[in-house]
Order: sequence, then structure tokens, then C-alpha cells
Amino acid sequence: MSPSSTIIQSFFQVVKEHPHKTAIIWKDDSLSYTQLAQWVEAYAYFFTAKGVKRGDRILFHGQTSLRFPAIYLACHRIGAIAVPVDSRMTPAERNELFIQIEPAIALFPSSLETSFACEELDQDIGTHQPGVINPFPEGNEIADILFTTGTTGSRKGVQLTHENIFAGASNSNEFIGNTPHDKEIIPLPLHHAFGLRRLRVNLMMGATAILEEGFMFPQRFFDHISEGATGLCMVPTGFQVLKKLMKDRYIPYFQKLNYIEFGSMPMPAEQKRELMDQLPSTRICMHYGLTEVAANIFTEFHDDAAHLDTLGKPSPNVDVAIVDASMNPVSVGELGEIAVRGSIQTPGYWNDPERSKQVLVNGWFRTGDLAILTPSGHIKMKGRNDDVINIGGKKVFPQEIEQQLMSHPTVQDCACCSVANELLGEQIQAFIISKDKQLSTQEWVNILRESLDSYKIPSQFIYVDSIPYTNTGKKKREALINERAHKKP
Amino acid sequence: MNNIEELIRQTLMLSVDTQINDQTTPQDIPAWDSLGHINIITAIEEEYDIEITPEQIAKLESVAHFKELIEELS
Repeated sequence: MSPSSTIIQSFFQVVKEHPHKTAIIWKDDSLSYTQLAQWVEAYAYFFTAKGVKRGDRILFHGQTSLRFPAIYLACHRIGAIAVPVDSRMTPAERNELFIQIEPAIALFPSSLETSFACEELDQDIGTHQPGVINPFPEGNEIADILFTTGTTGSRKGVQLTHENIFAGASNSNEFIGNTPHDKEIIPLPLHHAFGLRRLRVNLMMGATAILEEGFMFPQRFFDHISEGATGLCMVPTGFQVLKKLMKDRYIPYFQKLNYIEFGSMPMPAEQKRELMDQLPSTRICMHYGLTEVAANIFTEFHDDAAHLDTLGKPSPNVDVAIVDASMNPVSVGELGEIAVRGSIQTPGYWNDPERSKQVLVNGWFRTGDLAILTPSGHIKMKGRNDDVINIGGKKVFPQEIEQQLMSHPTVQDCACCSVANELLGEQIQAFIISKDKQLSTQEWVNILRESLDSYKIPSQFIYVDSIPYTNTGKKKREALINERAHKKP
Repeated sequence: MNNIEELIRQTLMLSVDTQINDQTTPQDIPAWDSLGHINIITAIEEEYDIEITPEQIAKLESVAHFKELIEELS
């Protein structure tokens, strides 16, 4: 491993050491490390010629392509801040972001509607430009601003320093055990924290990143694995899609993988157990993470077989504590908020000191997620602070009910929400996507009674055709309630 | 019976003026994501009373591929 302490320096170190290795594969094209470095230098030259200076923001379309890593690394090469944008954003959202970020330059495909001046994303910038002589940025300078949507919809610009992103990549490397010989399939959006971290990990190691867009073309995954892919990163919903489309045909292919990193969403313990049985010699890792504090808790299913109902243990080099409202650690088994500290920790939100102050307290980052510490040192997630439902003074986590509902064979997806109730303060409604829609409220109550306390059982079970999600896969519970309220006569 | 373009439009709840032709791929339509893909496959199986195997699903990457498969199975 190179001794560099930023991703961009590590990348150029790899270019020197392994110039001909394949860095990126995308559809039928690929770039060696030397070729990618030429693109990076060319974009760096292009940005500099356009007047972009150190600390300036570069806003660009985050669609997966060969250009994405080149543009991203070129921002860092000249000390500018990379702001990759979700390619599914509406024109209004893009414009809002432009105003918020005030970029020195914006790159978007001309086919997209924008109300601001921007450069064509796909233009030929020529890859034989002279290298730029700008010094590399320091670790404490801002490298990226990543926008995340909370479940309530307001957008936050998470600033990450070069030190943050390097630490995030190094820590996950230490847990998963990547090597320069790895070839990893990355089917995740690159503008999102998880996909981008996996891209950084591969490029700083001198491994090969095989880019894919989503999970709907399973044959491509199988082909990549047959051609030597060794790793894969995915989200549980993506895996569900693969399973639905492929039944158990993925098993012999996935068995050849050295590792899989899951993230971003909880996965029921039964599913984890099933995967362990199917993939006995693959490292099946899963992280708990937030854009603000990278992947900070890790588990490996086989190693943690007795603790599959937990998130795992703190990531290497990261402090994780379960704290009360005054930021004091709570006792083992007691409910508290997950707080994270370490060099992965964001310095705060872009242009939002108020919000930053709320989450950055006494050197810790408050996640807003509630959990307990088990006697074995594992962390067990209970739910989101914002999602907690209060039933007659008792706390109920919708995720717990949803997990029980999901274990029923007829349920394809579900969401539990709270609605105001005069008597109890709040009441729980379950929205269910089910193919047969056969079970009545009474039958559901009887089923759930076997596994849940009675106050946790929803009072209404409503069949719906879809459950709304944010772009990053969080359930929009409020939207479900509002939608239904509007439909009422 | 609906034609395939109409079926995709209905399944993904697209406006009537959304252009869909043989060359259309999921990348061209933002609503055609992974879950949309599953819904389209399910809708086609029901509409044409056919069963699509995982091996066949694995190769469905454009509207033309869907058409070829339906012709083969119907």
C-alpha cells in the first residue's frame, strides 16, 4: 500500500507502480491506470484553463461512465471540490443545487434541461494536454460535497475533507481485506457515498473497478464473475431484485467471489443466514454508515454468526458510542443514540452552520439513529430518532414491525407509519404490498401477535401498490400518510 | 391485447407521449429502474400468459429483446 495520505496522491502512486493495470471497466470500454491519469490531467488542465481555482466547486452530472472517475479525480488534482449530482434530479432540483453551491463550472449533458450556463459533459477535451503543476491539496481541505436527502426531503450538502475520504476508504479496506488484485463490480450510483467510497477504495489500491448501472442486468454480473471479478458491493434491495429475477441462479457465480459488501439498509437475519449457507467461503460484509461519517460499523456474517441481529462492531480506527441526550454513554443494554468520532467525520454541512452545530457535539457526530450496546460489544439498531412512534408513552420502532411483516411470504414490501389518534396520541398503520391481498386485519393481528407486543401491532392494514422511497432507498413514511389523507373522500 | 410499448407505458405509469421504440433501454427512461424492470416482466408474463425463465430474463436489455422473447414464447 502506498504511504500517501490522500486518495488523489495514492492514485498517482498506483499509476507509477502499475501503469498498465486496468483501472476502470464500463460496458465494452476500459481504461488503464495510465489512460485514466491522462484523462485526469486533461480535465485538470481544462478546469484550470476555465479559471477554476483551489477551493472552487465543480458541479457535475453523476451518471456512471468512464468520465466520472476522471472528472472526480481531476477536481481533487487541482484542489477543487467535487460535487457530483444525482442524475435522476429534476431540472428544478438541479437549479436549486446550482444556486446553493455556486460552482465555478458545471458539467451536464446538453440533453438535460438547465437554467444555468454549463459545459457539455460529453465534449472531447483531448487527452494529450500538458500536466498541471498545481500542488496536491492538503488533508484538511474539502474534497467533496455530497448531497443526501433525508426522509423529510430537505437536502443536506455533506462536506468531506481529503482526510475523511482517505480514512473512510482505508478503514473499510482494513475490514474487508481488499488487495490490488481485486476486481470489484460496482453497480451503485457513483454520486452516492457508498458507490463513491468503493470507487475510491479500488483506485487507491490499484485494483480494478467494474462499473455497472443497477441490478437489472444480472447476466452482466455473471459474465464479469466468469471473467475474474473477485468482489461486489450492493444494497439489500438490489440483491432482492437479483434474486427475484434470477431465482437461485446467482449462487454458483457469487460463490466465486472473495467478498461482498452490503450496505445502506437493514437486512433480516434469516436472509443473512440463507446467504451464509449459500456462500460458505465468501466474506459477506455489511456496514452501517452515513455520508457524514462513512461506514463506521462493520459485520461479517460468518464471523458474527451469533450476532446477525446486530450491525456489528465499530469499524477499525473509529470510535462509536451509544449516548444519551447529554452525550453521556448509556449502560449496556440501554437505548441511546449512535455517536461516531474519528478521522472519517465530516467538518459539517455546506453553508449550514446551524445544522452542523446540531450534529457535531463535543467532538462527536450524532447520527440520529437509536441503538443499544450488547454485552458482547455489538451494536443493535432499534430505529431512527425521527421515525419513533409513541403509543401511549411507549416507544415503537416501525422497522421492528416491518421486519415481522416482511418475514410473511405474501408480503413484497411494507411500511409502518404513525397517524394521530385522540386516545393513544399515535396509532400505527401498516401499508403492505402483497400479491394476493387475502389476509384481513384480524388475520394480520393474529400473525403479528406471535412475535410482537400487543401495543406494537398496527391497528390498520392497508394494501397499496407501491411504497415511496427517497433516491437513496429510505422509506418516505410521511408521503404515504399524506397521499392517503388526500385520497379520502 | 396491449402492445409491448403500451404495456411498459402503463406499468411504469409514463405519459402517453413518452417515446418507446425497439431501441429503448431502461437507461432511456428514468422510471425504468430495477423494480420497474421486475414489474414489466411480471406484467408481460400475465398479459401474454407466458413464463419467462431466469436465463431469458438475464438477456432482456432492450424493448427489442422483449419482443423477440414474446414472439418465441407465444
